[in-house]
Parts: sequence; structure tokens; C-alpha cells
Amino acid sequence: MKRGLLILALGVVGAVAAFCCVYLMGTTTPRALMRSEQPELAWLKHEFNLGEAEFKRIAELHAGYLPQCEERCRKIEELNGRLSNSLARAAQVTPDIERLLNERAQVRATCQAEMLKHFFEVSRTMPPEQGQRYLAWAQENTCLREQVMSHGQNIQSNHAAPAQHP
Amino acid sequence: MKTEKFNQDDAPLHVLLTEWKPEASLPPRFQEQVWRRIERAETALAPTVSLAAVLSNWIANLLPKPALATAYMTVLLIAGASIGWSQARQESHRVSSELGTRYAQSVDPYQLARQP
Repeated sequence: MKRGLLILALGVVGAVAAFCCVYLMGTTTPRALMRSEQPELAWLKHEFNLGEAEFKRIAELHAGYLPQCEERCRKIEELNGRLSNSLARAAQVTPDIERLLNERAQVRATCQAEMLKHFFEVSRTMPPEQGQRYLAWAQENTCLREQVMSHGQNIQSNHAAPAQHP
Repeated sequence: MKTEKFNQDDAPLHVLLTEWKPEASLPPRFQEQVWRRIERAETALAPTVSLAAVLSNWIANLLPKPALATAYMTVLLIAGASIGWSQARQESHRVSSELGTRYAQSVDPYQLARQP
């Protein structure tokens, strides 16, 4: 009985040990990514197989892009606030509201154009094949992706989420 | 000698028994009921074996056998490793997806605005 119980316990301990070993080995990369200083950039490096030099250049591009992006976001926020104030006072579309809408659309378009420029710049820093993959990923996962226009109809698409008019 | 005498004495009885035919008929489903009673009696006689006793017997007598012990250990090791591998894959996929989203959010502020 004692021998049987020992074998039983050894089996359970062995199974747990095998689980832990394989799990830890299998999650080495994601754990390393999460521990890095900038996990999202570390992910980019891993996902697109970047070398050290390429990664360094992309990290610089990323660091240079972010303050400009934040500045444009601040501008859009400011315009949103002004537009809200104008809308609260207005009973119809005034020239001021039209101007603010145009201005906001302009900043948004600039924002998207700059984002696209950044993506192209990053993709050029990568090896050509990876650069193409990166551009495809950016197109699929950012606001550059076309949104299906819908007036409430139940349009289904595999490629885009519908933007519904209120 | 004794048997012969006995047979001679019982000859009329023997004739009577040969001629006799039972008039009473068997009750309906008699045969089935007999079998059922036999079955019930056998079930009652069979010893009840609990799961704990089976397990205990298995651990004490069968598990220590080298072939079974090896098979048991192998199965558990493979099961542990397989589950570990599956969990690791899921975790890797989750982290990769999460970091991809975080990167997209860092370069595309519209991503955050779209969050529910």
C-alpha cells in the first residue's frame, strides 16, 4: 500500500512539475516582453523580427512622433470644447460652428496623415518583407482602416466595424 | 433384493403415478417469475464492493507493478506537459494581442476613443 501511494504521489508531483516546466519555457518570450521598459515596442521588435539597430531607430521615431501626436490631440480636444460651447448656445448651424467643424476635421485629417507618415517611416526602417507586414498590420489595426458607413442597416463585414449615424 | 421387493410392493402406486396427469395449470408468467426470484437471490448474495475498496486494492496491489507504474507515470507526465504547453500558447497569444493593442493605442489615439 505504501509503495502504491508513493507511486501515486510521484505521478501527481511529476505531472505538476511537467506542467510548470513546459509552461515556464513556453512563456519565456511573453514574460520577457512584459518585463521590458517599453513592452509595446519590445513586442514590435519581437513581432517583426527587428535587429538591434532597426529597433533603436524605430524607438527614436516612436519617441519623436508621440509629442507631436499629443499636441494634435490637445488641439482636437480644445476644438471639441469650443464646439460644445457653440452648440450649447446655438439653435441652428452658425458660421462659427461650421468653421469649428471644418477646423476639427482638418486637424483630424492632419493627425491621420501624420500617423500614416509615421507608419511608412517605421516600415522603411524594417526589412522590406517585415515592413510590408507592418503596414498591413497598421492598416488593419488602426483608424486607417476603412469604416463601413451605415444608416442603421445591419451591414456585416469581415474587414471593418460599422460606424453608425445616431 | 430389498429394492426388488420395494418395487413389487409399489407397483400399483407406480401405475397410478404413470396414469396421473395434473389438472391444475401454472399461474400466468410462472417461468418469468421463477427466473426473477433466482436473479434476486443471486444479487442479494453478491458481496457489495465499494469504490474506495477498489481504489485501495488498485493502489496496493496493481499500481506497484512496474509496467503499470511506468504507464501511470508516463500518462501523468504527458498530461501535465500537454496542459502546460496549451496554457503557455494561450498566454503567449494573450500577451501578444495585448501588447499589439497597446502599441496601436500609443500611436493611434482614436483607438482609445473607440474603447467601450
